[in-house]
Amino acid sequence: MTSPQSGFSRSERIYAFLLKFYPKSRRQEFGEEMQYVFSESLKDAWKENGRQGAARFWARIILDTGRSALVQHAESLSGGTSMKTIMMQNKNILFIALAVGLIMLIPLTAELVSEDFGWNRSDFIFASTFLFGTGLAFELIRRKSSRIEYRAGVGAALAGMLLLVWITGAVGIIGPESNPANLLYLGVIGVLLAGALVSLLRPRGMALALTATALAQAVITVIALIITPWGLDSFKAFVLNGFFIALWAGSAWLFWRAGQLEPAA
Amino acid sequence: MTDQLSQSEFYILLSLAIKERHGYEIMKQVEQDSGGKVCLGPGTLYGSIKRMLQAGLIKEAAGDNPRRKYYRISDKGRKSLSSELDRYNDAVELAKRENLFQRFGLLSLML
Repeated sequence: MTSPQSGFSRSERIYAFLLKFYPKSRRQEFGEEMQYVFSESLKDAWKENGRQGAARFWARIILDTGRSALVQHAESLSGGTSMKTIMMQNKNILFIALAVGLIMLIPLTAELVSEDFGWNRSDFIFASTFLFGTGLAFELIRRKSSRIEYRAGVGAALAGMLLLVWITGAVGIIGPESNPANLLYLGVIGVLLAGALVSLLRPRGMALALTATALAQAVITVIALIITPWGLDSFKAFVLNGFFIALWAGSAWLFWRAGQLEPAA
Repeated sequence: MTDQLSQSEFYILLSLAIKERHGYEIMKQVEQDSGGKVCLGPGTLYGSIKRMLQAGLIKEAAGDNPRRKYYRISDKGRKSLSSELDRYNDAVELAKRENLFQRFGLLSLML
């Protein structure tokens, strides 16, 4: 049977190890004090209820360490911002995740009730990652400006990108989705992403990037109308391409307005 | 308007309102003041202390034992605590006026 003294020493060594789960800066600032509080509290718990008290105390310490180490890491990573503030600042991201979860219930229900739906696991992973990624991108980019025009421009551009990928992947714009000509639309997305990168998301630069995207879409429309036999397919290509050209142009206009309203640097 | 205090921040400020203390003393005082309902572990205690130092609610102080870090309430902390106590006081007054203690069977709190 171990003596209380050796039990205390062992407990102190274990707690010294648990302290490693805290951020280094916090350990350096408070590690010694935390160790002292731990030792004194353990002695109190032992004095009050012996072995049972020590066991209960240890259960509390494990919970306390797990919870507070996580919180303190989150605070350290965000430059000392409190957990409450982190949650407040990122509540929109939590809402986006929740919304994606709710949207994904639709195909999940369809998959459960209909054998013809045919989504596999990778379809679900791709769809939810894509939706969440688009929502997250909107949330992060919109923080660059409080102007409604800028935010609407970001929303239109991201919605356009999401729809373009979805429609070309699901039904195709030029003929069926299996038609390799649909891969041309990757070029449209490439122009948009390159423009966003070069402009560093500044409104005037984004207006130019979206104008270039609309032009790229227009060029592909011409190609689509040339290679698609006249009929329903060419009508579909015309309508869908027209919709995207209008969306890119609208987004470019919104960015241009935001740039005009922005004070000159 | 001051930010609302969390439960542990409130009890830590309350314990420091009387005198400056080091971490272990704060922890014991909080346990006593809350009737054993709030038991702060070392991680939660020093996490709160760090946040309260950053928010300027408490300050480090020189204490009797040079090996320990002592903390005292700041003017800002005193204001926060006082507005929180005001809030609680208003709530209790309202509960008394509306007879809520009796309605919820909390007569012992009236005594």
